Amino acid sequence: MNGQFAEEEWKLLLDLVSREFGLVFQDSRRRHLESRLLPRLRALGLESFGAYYRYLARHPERGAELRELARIVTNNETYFFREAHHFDLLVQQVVPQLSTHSRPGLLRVLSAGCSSGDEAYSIVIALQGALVDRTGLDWQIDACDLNSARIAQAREGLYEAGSLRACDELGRSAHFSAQGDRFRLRPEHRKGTSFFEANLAVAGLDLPGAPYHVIFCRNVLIYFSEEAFHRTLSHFHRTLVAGGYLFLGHAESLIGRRNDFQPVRLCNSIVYRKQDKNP
Amino acid sequence: MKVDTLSDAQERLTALQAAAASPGRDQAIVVGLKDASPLVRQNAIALAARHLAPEVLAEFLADDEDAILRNAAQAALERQGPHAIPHLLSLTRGADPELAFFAVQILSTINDVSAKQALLPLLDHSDRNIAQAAVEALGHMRATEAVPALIRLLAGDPWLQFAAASALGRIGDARAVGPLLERLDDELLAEIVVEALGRMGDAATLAPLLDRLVSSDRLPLRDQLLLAVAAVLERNPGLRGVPARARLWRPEVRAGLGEYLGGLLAMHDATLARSAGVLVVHAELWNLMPALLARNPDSGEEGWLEGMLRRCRRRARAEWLPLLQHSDPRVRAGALLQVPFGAGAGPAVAACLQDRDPEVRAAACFALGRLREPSAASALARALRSSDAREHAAAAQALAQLPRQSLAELAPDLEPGADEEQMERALGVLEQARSTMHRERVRALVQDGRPALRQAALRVLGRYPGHAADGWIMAGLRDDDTVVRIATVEILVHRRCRKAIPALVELLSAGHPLRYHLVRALGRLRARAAASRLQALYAGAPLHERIEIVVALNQMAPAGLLAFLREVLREPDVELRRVASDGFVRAAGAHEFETMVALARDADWVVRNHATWGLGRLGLPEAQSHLMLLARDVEPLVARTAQAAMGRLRGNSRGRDA
Repeated sequence: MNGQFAEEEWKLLLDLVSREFGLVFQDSRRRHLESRLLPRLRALGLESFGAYYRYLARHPERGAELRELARIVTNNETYFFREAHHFDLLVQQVVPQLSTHSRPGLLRVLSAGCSSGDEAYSIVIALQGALVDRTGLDWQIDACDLNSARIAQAREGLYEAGSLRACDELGRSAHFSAQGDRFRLRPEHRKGTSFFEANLAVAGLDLPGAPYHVIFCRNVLIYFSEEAFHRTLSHFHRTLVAGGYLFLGHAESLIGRRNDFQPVRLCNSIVYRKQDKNP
Repeated sequence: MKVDTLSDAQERLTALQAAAASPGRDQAIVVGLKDASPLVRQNAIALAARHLAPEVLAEFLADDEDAILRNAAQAALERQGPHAIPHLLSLTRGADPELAFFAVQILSTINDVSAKQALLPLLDHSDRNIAQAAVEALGHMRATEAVPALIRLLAGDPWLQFAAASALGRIGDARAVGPLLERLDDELLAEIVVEALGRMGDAATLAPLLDRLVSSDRLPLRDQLLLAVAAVLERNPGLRGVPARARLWRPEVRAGLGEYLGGLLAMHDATLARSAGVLVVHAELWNLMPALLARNPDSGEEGWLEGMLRRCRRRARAEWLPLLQHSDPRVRAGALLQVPFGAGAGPAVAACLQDRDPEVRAAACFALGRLREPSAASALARALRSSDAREHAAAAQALAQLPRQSLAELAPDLEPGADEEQMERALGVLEQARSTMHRERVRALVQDGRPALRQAALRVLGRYPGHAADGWIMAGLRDDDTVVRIATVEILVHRRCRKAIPALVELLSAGHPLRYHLVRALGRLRARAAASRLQALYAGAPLHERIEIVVALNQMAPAGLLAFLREVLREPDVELRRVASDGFVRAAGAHEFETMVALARDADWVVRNHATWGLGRLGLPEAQSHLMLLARDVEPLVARTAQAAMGRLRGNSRGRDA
């Protein structure tokens, strides 16, 4: 398959990405994705995307290559305290409510699609900053991503300056130590975090720390197919406690798409709360 | 309130797909078109395009009660393409204005040349909605024959003026430039006219657009003016006189514009920032250049800015040099990466190799490579030994671009006692440069005890011209290390080394993973002599190798291929059938027409797509009815292939008539 069937090869590849990871790619991102895939073709000694598709579809070592593909197709754009108001909402609104209603001795949070861990560590820093641990509340922050390289980076806790773009000088020096031209997260901010690889789009996803009181899944669902979107939301519904909160990115909304989560306005932001049963 | 979960929608989708093959199909499709879930609806639309008549779908267009059904019917008619056109054209002439309106919209999306003439009279339709839809449709279809009528509408009914201006911009015909410029100061029309002029990109519009950009402080008109000015400048890179015009701006005007553009360059919105950058460069607004360069390394616009600066190279070279000493390292790196410095800038650029910032040092390597500056070879060789990955990668790329003799600097890196990683980097440079320097050392490294070095040395030999090195490379096929052997196979294929074919065939008895690569290599070398051996291997090979054997045989096209492929098409594995159908439709002649038609009805869309292409390739008139059906295939890609094949068939038929 080549020449006349270049479009077909491309569609086969995109369909496979959608099937395996739930991710959809617009045509406008084609050239970008092609340029990212070319090194994989070179590494495997393959001459076309059709040959690469066949490798992913039937080669005995396809499992290892699918992990490489996951690393390539995931958008890793993230930084500490992205959409910072969400962390304020967590400590000022959500945690007090959960403490009042359900008194969880252990606050369990999931950072879904965590990339290099910036979000998970931001949650810890926010909780520590609000002295939440002095109220007797402890936390467990589970963080998962499809991309194994990003999980390794999250565990290492070493960041480029771009990851700290929303931190002021004070924040940088308080939470990080300079290491060459990079920044290492201070060890105390790792408290309660656990990182693992997971594909949110697969059926029967097992999340070890469930049930969660809060799930952060920001700027992930916008890249999902309709099917993967619903499957992921069903996982979240299953793994959240009754009344648990779901934080999405500003461009993502469940309104008109799911009614098993209730939109709640908190300080001019919309977050979602699990509807326990069909009203 | 019922929660519509995925499983409910999935169940309805499964039911719809099952009904597609049952007597109640059409009714099930109509129910699917009304479904609340987009997942189900999209599938129903694909099935409706395939199975429901345009007349049936058009009835739903008139359904005021159910907007979901109406939209779904519209989408299905759009997917029907040429099949729906005759009925849609009759609707445009019908008594129901709402149906006529929707029909025009659908014709616009189908965008078939046959509809243009039929839409022209509708520009003067008494129903303004229909007239407006016709204006928009003709603009979308870039119908130059509509330009005089659209220009007339610019001065007519205000309801149609907006649509006419926009349509003229889309069509891009130069006859519209003057009439559009006349409307530039019309308060109501200004934005749409500016947008249209930007789309057209005519050089004559630069001065009036620029004058208004400078004097306007009204948003969003100012943004629109900037986008249009940038579009004109990008379309006409040779335009002169912009800096001279900019020098005439009064200081307060210049400051106001600078503040506006500076704000945009700091924004995340790439479109406006890029337009601001275009104006900054073309008007030579030097005070804003640091903001432009600092922005770029982060924003993925490197190629664009570099290209633009290259096109503007005649402009002001000396002013760039101070930017290499700018306090912000992003500006220094940006200048080195983007600015096409001339040869005279060599020393200033080379001095940046000592910069304290590794990004800037890497950028300096890149710039020196672009300058092909031989005096920098020694410094670049030192950078190649850097521990910073960005720096040594950039140094390798730069060294490969220098004149050949500069690579003598790599001798210490290739000496027997040198560090392994260092040797690999040096070999990488020789490979990139296609250099034959250090030949004896490279040959010796093919025998080195370290596999990574053997592979790197083989890659260098792989870039040698002629066939003198083939024998040395083929020694790599006997390497102890499988990775080296696989790399050797790839190198031989890249060299189109047919001399290696017997050795490759002999190695086919080797097991996984080498055999997979050998099969593919023989196919790419079109080694027809190996065809019978591959066919013999087929039955006992694992699935992934069988697939590649079929692909290789397709490439070789040996005698008896069609009979072999016919057998493979009976296999249960879909990937095998796909590659077999690919080969079959390329090799089959007119006597295989019926088999091709059968493949065009296959359950798998890839097989159908191949067969559709094959029917077009055969060019037989009797394929027309089959292609008409395939043009409404549930898989849009198959439908597009069928439409292209029909076009080819029409071309053949015109050729015969002529």
